[in-house]
Amino acid sequence: MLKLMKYEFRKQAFSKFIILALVGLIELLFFFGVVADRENVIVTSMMFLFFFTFGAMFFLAFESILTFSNDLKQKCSYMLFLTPNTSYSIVGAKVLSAGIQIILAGIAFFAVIAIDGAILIAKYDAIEQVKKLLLEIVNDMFNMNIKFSDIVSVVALMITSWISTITIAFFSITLSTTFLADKKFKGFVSFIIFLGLNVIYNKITSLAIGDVSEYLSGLDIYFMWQSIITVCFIIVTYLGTAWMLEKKVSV
Amino acid sequence: MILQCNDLVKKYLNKTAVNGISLDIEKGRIYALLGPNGSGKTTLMKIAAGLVKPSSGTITYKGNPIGVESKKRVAYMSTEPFFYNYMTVQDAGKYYQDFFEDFDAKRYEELIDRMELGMKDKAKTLSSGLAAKLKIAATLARKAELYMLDEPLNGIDIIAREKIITTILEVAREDATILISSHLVDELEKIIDNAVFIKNGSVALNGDAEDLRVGRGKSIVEIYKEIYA
Repeated sequence: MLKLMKYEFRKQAFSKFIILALVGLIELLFFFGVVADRENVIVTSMMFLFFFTFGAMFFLAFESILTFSNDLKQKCSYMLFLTPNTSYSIVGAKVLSAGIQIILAGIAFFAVIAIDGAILIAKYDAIEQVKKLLLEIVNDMFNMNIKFSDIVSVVALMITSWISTITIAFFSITLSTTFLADKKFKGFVSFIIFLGLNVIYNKITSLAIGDVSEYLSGLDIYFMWQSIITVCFIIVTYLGTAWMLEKKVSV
Repeated sequence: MILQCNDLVKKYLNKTAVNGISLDIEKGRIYALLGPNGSGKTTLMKIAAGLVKPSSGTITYKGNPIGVESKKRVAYMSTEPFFYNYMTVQDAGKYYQDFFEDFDAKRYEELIDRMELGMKDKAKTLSSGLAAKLKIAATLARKAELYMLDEPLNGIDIIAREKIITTILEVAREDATILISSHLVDELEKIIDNAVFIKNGSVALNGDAEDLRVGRGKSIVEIYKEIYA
């Protein structure tokens, strides 16, 4: 499976270089602003960085889905499906590499924003006031009994939700491929299935664990239950995708 | 028996590509899968390679269903170019080496040299003839038990065809079976042991090439014309 993952990363390497180059350009703009003491340039570069972070994170998930779709409809799919690997390994490698890319990109963007923030705090007194304000907010949050387990459960839910979006998309594309093969409107049908599955997922979640308002005294429990249901959904959609590829789908 | 098909059917929404094919492929022989475009040769090969799932019927490789084990032993070359866009000739070799235990990197280098390709050449920028040669080099650099070559002479000029046929014959060992699909019957006539004629998704005629020639008093090319004209 590691070899399959290696080639998944390789297939999507070009976009990572583009993202890296654009982050480098934004950072150059930021450092120019810091050195030249141009506040408007600093603010502009930070805005660019925030928007670009969100855009890049969405693009990474979208690219994993697009690569999967291309692997089912283009002739280069032979390279993948002729290798002596089960569909379970092939889909598993795709899900894992997508998950790893999202986590690593999240850490990298967080690190860049944190470094830029630290530089600003070190350079400007006014930022010191912002820092104090932020610390006060954090203290207030702790007074509200925000526990470490709350943060862990939120991060776990974010990661599992992101991965479930990818596995639901894989399942939708594969399901439409089983009965529509190469038809032009297959992409639209996949999207409708994707929306339908998300509705089912939300219904199951609310039926199983109820509403968030019932957990105000223990949000971490709510988030953990939701993460567990999301993981179950990931497993079901992963197994369903791999089974259809193994038994039904022709490439 | 290395490959066995029983009443194999592949239906698409409004088309039957393979219509009840029953066929036994024996070890150590060279088979020609003959028929015009759209007769079902490619679909049959793709089913045997595990790329296409049959609608009904069975297909087994050494008695087992097509799957991971058969993919380890069967080298399939499709008629379409299939390398990833980012790949160079060298990348394609590394990919095969990573996934196929029977891939011989040294043999690949020899074949690339023979086909007058360069390791740094980008797969997507190759002409159709050179791209066909790259597919052949990658496929024949494996020491497979069964080679399935779908239209290996497509896009290859007359001079290079001889070179390709010689290379194909080099892999024809006692324990290796070769299945070649083509509509260039005259090019294959001199090298094949068996001929399988496919018409409208079914086997129209199948047998030992020499027996067919003697029995009908005609060459394989003439039999082809008789069946499809």
